[in-house]
Amino acid sequence: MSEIIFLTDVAVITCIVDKERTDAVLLAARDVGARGAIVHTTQGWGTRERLGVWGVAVETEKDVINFMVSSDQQDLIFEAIYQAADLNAPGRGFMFITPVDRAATYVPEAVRQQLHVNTE
Amino acid sequence: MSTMPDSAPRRSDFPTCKAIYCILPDDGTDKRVLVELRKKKGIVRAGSLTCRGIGALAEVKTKGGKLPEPDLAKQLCVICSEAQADQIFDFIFWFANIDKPVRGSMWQQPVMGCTPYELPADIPDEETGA
Repeated sequence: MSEIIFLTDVAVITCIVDKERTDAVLLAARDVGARGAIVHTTQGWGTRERLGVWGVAVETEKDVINFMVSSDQQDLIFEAIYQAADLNAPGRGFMFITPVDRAATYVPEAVRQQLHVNTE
Repeated sequence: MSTMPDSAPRRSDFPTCKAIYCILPDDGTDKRVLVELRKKKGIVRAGSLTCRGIGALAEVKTKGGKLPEPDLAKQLCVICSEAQADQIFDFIFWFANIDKPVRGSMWQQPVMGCTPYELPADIPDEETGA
């Protein structure tokens, strides 16, 4: 059995935005080097309901976007997402970074050999 | 027997744990992992969520610079004790074939406190019905 290559210096950026801003967030993250994202939709309310134009209760669908990024890139990607999602405007959404102890995924054979990792 | 404290719970009653997240393909692997975790490791604080997975964002070129079509994926979340975490991480990695291409990725994060959870004892087994 081959060894697991653990990736360290990794963080997860989680961004909660309106659905219509999801593509802009993903494109902005891609442009600064994000390698992938996972998106799921959630429905509900924030801490205030009456944020709509007419002051009526708004139930809205939000997207929760998770990016696993390297620690080197986390600030760059965080700032790019912040701008793309326009998070400095009230009610647009929020985001946070959480630390990751370790991560693992498929590592191509050529990279494993470069790292002198057991491939059997 | 309940795992909850009898008196009003305090934050210190709930020890630090680890959360293991896995992005898995939508082929039933998530359910198989959950069943194995319950049967072999006694893990019940776990669940899976359906997501849109957009992989290799940086490599895909599409017309007009648009995003590639997302794939359906499952995000598995497993909460376990710190002592178990390494073993559970390795178990999921090999069981879900994360070392193979297009099988997803996984990561482990610290959790500052988590309540215990147990399932009712009288739920029939999904396979045997007993």
